[in-house]
Amino acid sequence: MFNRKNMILTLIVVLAISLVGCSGANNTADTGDSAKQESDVTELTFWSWYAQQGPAIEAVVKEFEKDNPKVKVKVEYFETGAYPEQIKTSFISGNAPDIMGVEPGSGPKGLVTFKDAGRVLDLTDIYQEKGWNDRFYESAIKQLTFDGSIYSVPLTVNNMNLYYNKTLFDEFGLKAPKTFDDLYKVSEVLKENGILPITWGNKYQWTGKDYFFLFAGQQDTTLIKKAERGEIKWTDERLVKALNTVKRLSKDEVYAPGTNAMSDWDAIQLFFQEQAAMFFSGTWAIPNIKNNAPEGFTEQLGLIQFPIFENGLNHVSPGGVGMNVAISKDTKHKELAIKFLDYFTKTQSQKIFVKEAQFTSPNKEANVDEIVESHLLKKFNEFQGDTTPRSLVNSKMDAELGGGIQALIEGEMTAKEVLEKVEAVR
Amino acid sequence: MDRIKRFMGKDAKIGYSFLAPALILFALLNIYPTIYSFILSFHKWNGLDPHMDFVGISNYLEIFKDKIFHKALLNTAFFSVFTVVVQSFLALLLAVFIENVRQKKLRAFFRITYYFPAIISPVVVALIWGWMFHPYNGALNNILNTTFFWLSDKRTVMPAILIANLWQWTGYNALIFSAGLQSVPKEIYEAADIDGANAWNKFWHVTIPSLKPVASVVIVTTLINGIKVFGLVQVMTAGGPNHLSEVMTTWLYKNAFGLGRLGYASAMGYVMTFISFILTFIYLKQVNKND
Repeated sequence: MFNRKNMILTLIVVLAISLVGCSGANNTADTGDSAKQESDVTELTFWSWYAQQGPAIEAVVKEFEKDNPKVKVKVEYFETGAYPEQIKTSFISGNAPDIMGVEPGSGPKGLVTFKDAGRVLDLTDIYQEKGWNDRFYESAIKQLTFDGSIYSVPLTVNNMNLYYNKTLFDEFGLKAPKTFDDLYKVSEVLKENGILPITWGNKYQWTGKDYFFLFAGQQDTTLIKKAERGEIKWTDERLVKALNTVKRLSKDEVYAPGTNAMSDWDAIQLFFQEQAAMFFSGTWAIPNIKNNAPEGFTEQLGLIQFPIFENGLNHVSPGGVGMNVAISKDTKHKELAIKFLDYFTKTQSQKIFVKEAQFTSPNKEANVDEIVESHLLKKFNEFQGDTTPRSLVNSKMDAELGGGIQALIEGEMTAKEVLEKVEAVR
Repeated sequence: MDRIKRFMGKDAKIGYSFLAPALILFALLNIYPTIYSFILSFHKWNGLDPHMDFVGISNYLEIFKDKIFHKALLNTAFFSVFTVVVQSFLALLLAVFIENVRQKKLRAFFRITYYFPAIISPVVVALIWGWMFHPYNGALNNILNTTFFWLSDKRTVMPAILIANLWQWTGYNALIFSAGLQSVPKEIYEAADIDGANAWNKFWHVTIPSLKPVASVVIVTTLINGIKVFGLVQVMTAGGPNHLSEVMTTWLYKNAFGLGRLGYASAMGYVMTFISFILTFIYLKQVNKND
C-alpha cells in the first residue's frame, strides 16, 4: 500500500490539484442559488476589489434580480493589488467584465487610466437620458467629468473633517474651534495639560496633500482644478498661502511634531489613546474607529469642518468620489448594464445600500438620518454638499506635491519652492 | 560513449522527465520575465494601453540624469557597504561567541534564538521596528525618555533601517559562520597552541584564513541582499521623507506602480542587475586572485 509507486502517484496528484486550485486570487460571490444554465438567462459580470462592500452590493443585486428574473448579476472580488492585472488580462483575453470598479484619478486602477486606454464607454448621453445629472452630488459629477464627457458612475462619496475628543474638550472647558484664533487658543490649553492638539502622520505622503487642498478650498474651491488644467500657475499666491498655512501649523506645533515619522495609522493611535485631542480624516475612518478604538470611544467624538485660517474664508471639507464603476467598451450587454446601474443608483436601492454599508451614497436623497446609524456619519452627510476637490489626476504633479510637503515639514524646502517643483513637471 | 550514455540514455530520459516540471516553471517564472522586461525597458508603457511605444535607449539615458535615482543609488551603496562590512563582522563575532559556549544545549539555544528573526517577513520586521522607533509610544524613546524622530530626521533615518536589517540578518549569517567554524580541524588549533599562540593570534591566523570560503558566501549574499532590499524600506519609511531614504528598489516600485512608467522601471531594474553583476564579479576576482 505504501510502496514507492503509490507515493509518487499521490505526490503528483497532490501537486496537480494544488496548481489547479491556485488559479488567480479571486473569490467569487455568486448571488442567488447555483446557476441554472438556461440559455435565456443573461449574465452580467461585475468586478471589484472592495470586498467589504460585498454584503451591501449583494443586497441591491438581490432586489434587481427579483425585478428582472431573466438576469443574473455575478459579482466577483479580487485582491486589491492583483485587480489591475486581472482587468488587463481580461481585456486581452476578451473576457472583460461588463461592469468594473474603478478609482477616480490615474492610478493603476484609476478611471483616467482606463479611459485613456479606450477601455470604457462614454456615458455622457446616458446621464442626460436617465437624468443622472440631477441624481448625484454636483461635486461628484464634476470630479468624474473630463473635457465635458463622463465615463463612470459613482458608487460611494466621502469627505474629510476634524474629529475631536469631546470628553477631553469638556474636561478643559474648550469649545470646538471655528477659526484659527480659536484653534490656537485650544492648542495652548491642550499643550499646557500635556495633550497633543492635532495628530497627523505623513509617512506615506498622501495625508499632507489633503491639508493643502483644504486650505486652497477654503479660499476658492476651484483653485486646484484650475491649477491642474494650467489656467493658473501652481505658484499662484493663494496656493502658496495655502501651503504656508500647513507650514505654520507645523512650526507652531499645532500639529504634533514628528509628522513624517508616523504613518496615518500611527497617528490615529495617539488619538485613540487620548494623547492627542484632534484628528483630521474622512468618512472611511468611522469603521476603523468602531473596530479598533477602545469600547465606546465613538460616542466621545464630535465632528466639525476644519477651522478657517483667515477671516472671510469658507468652511469646506475636502472630499470626492470614493469608488466608481464604468462599463467596459467590449460589453455585449450594454443596455442591460445601463439598466442595472440605473437601478443600482436610484434612491430606493441606494437606501438599501446605505443601510447595509453605512457610508455616504452619491445619491443625495439616500443619505437620510433614519437609516444612518453613526452620529458621525450623519455629520459627514451634512457636509457632503460642501466638498472641495481632493485629488490630482496628474500623477507626476501628485508625486512632487507629496514629496514636497514632506520636505516642507522638515524645513528642507519653502512653500514656494515646493510649488515651483510641481509647476515644473507640468 | 559514457558521456553519451549519461545524457541520452534511458536513465537520463527518466531524469529529464523529473526535471521537466521544474524547468518549465523556471522558464515561465524566470527566463520569460527576464527577456520580457528587457524588451520593455526600450519602450514606454503604462500597463494598460493595448500598445507600447518604442523609445530606444531614452529610458536608460533618463536614469543617467535622474537626480532621485542618484540619491537612491547612493543610499543603496551606503546600505550595502554597511551591511557587508559591519553586519558580516558582527555575525562573525557572534558565531565565535556561540561556538565557544561550553554546553551543547545552550549553544543550540543561542543558534536558534539568533537565527529566528531571519524567518520573519521583512514587512513584519519593518512594522515591529516602526513601532520601536515611534516618536511618542516607541520602546526606544521610552527607554531614552525623549521624543526623537528617528524615522524622519535625516541623520537617523538610514541608520534606523540598518539597525532593523541588522537585527533580522545577523543571526542568519552567524549560523553560516558557525558552520564554517565547526569545520576547522581542531589539529590546527592544537598546533598553534604548541607554537605559543594566544587567543588573538589563533583568531587572526587560524580562524579567519580557514573561514575564507564561508566568508565569501556571506559577503556576496549580504551584498546582493543589500542591493535588493525593498520591503523593509518601503514599510518603515516609504523612501521618505521626500526621498531621504530612497533606495533603488523603492524608486523602481514607485515608478512602475505609482507613476505607471513600466518601461522606465524595467530599465532601472536592468541597471541594478548590471551593477550587482559588476560588483560581484570584481569581488570574486579579488578573492580568487588571493588564493
